[in-house]
Amino acid sequence: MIWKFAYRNLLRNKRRSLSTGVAICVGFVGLNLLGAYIYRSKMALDVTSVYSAQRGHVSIYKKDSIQQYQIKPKKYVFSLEEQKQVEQVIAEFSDRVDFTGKKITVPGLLSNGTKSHPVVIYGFDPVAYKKSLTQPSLLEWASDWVLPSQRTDADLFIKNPETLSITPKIAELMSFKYPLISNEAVQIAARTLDGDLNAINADLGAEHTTGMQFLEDTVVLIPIAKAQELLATDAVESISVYLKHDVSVNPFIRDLKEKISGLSFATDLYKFDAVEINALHQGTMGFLYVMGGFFVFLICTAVSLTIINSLTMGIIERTREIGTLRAVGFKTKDVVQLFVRESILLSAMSMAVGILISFLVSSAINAANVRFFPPGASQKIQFVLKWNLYIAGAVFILLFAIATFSSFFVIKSKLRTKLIALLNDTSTFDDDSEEEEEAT
Amino acid sequence: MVVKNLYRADNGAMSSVVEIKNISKSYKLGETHVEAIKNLSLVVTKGEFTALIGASGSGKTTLLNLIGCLDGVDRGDIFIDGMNVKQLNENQKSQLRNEKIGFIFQSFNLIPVLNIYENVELPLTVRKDIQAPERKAKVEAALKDVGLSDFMHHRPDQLSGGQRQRVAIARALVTSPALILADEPTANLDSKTANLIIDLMLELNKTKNVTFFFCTHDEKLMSRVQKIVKIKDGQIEA
Repeated sequence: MIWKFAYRNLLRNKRRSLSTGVAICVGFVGLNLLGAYIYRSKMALDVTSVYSAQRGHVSIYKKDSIQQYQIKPKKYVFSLEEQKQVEQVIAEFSDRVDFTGKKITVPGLLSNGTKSHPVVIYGFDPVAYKKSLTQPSLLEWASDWVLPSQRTDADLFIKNPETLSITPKIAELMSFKYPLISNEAVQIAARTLDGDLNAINADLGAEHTTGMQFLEDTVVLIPIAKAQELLATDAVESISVYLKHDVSVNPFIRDLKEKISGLSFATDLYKFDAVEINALHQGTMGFLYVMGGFFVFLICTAVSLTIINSLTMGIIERTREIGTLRAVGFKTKDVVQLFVRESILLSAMSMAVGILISFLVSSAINAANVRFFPPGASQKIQFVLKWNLYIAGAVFILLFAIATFSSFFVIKSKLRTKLIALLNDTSTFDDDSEEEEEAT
Repeated sequence: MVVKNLYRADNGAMSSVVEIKNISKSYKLGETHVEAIKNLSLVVTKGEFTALIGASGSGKTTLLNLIGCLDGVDRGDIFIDGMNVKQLNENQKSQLRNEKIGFIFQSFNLIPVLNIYENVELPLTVRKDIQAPERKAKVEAALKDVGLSDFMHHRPDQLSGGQRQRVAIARALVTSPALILADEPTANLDSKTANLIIDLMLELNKTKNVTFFFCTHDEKLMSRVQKIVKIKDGQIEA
């Protein structure tokens, strides 16, 4: 009966209910799509950090290596024996670990005989590289962050361990013919870990993108064995651990830390989004969260004010009716419940429409293939809105709570008026009559 | 019910539905201080059909509002069915109004979005002790008593003034209250319809022993009541 009553009250002033419903609906769609954008950005940054950048879910370094490796590289790498010990510890987590990879980086010089260019050489594990680039999550969330040829040529480094990969920008700077001629000989030079100069030949055979404009003219990739040959070492700078799909990262890091602390050498463990190794992730998400929070505040305030305004008008018009309800025995909570149910119904109906609109808008935007340059990105990426039920659910709960609390406070405030003043209200748009008759 | 311990210690005269002892009520209207009720005492016994008459501004409606717990007294006590309303909080007063008092308003005060059945059912919807089948029976009985059984699915705006007032009477009756208060129940009706409403109220008073206490200016109504209370300047005159 009370639900029916609430529903019919919504139909009293259809235009007002419609405009309030539209405000809630637009707020819902706005928050939903904003959430979808932030969610997509986070997922894209996560998978590119883990797989494209070869960090794994967890990166294991020698203690203080992040700060000291460039200064004293030899001291802050894992020797072959130390690598084995770390691998033994990781093996204890085989139920959670999918695969591992090793990395070493070194500044060097790339030359093709006529031109030279300073680069940062990333030595990586070819098997881990292939596994990383073929991850379904990378394709789902960040297909634009990987060149199509990277995926098709993912096993090139396994087939030919001499292969060197450059970015399109380096190809342009060094005037390499494009598309790249496979196996064109190039030279890379660098200081070994002992400080001696060394140079080796490599086959230019692949291209990649870092995804970041400021890295696009510096990073070259080679298999780690080739990098170790250049550095005259069998050591590695870090070991990346890639977890299985449904494994939680933080508990794994906690458990791994406990086990790895028993080794004879100290290590540092970093999650893929740790600021020490991934300032870009932190900075981007920090910005998006602040921006998102600001918009959430604005939208929630607008929705709340719309509901309060609409409800206040409705309450003013129904002042005498509220008095009648109280006179026939409705307690304060019964009247509050009636008005709150009206808000609940209106917000539920509006947000149900909002879900449909969110789906249609996001599908239309995704189908339109809108492309843009994110700040600092090396190439345009598609503007994708991937909303899911968790985001929709969270927005639903948020707006639902706002609608409920707004209506609660408006009616609660009205019910402070004396019952006799409610019943004697004669003006549709003047609810100040209670102030005229003030009991001494 | 929480209010049970608020019954009069001497248990009162068991036949009195309303017992008013030395009540006063004043208002401030702008700069003017109005003493609407002055040290007034009155007893309404069960089954009485009482009219409260008096000139405009004599305090009729104020007294009715005080008896109906729609407003509070400044001094004195009002007992409804033996219960001192002064000591009740707002929710307890709501419960008292729901269980003991029925209201008939001058302008009917029906809810326009509810049909006749639902309007009459309204006071019962907040009663947890009355289940749906019993509620339905009570509503149907009340509508039958006022002769509106065939109109239960109509909306108030589809009824005439007299029919609307009969709906209001059914709504007041449905909880089987100890007292029905009516503020000028025939004021908004033509004389023929007003007569029909008076007939109905008298019939309910006779057949169901319902206690009516109402204020009126209607001469015809005054001539048919068993007890008239005249109020002047906030005091009972006769």
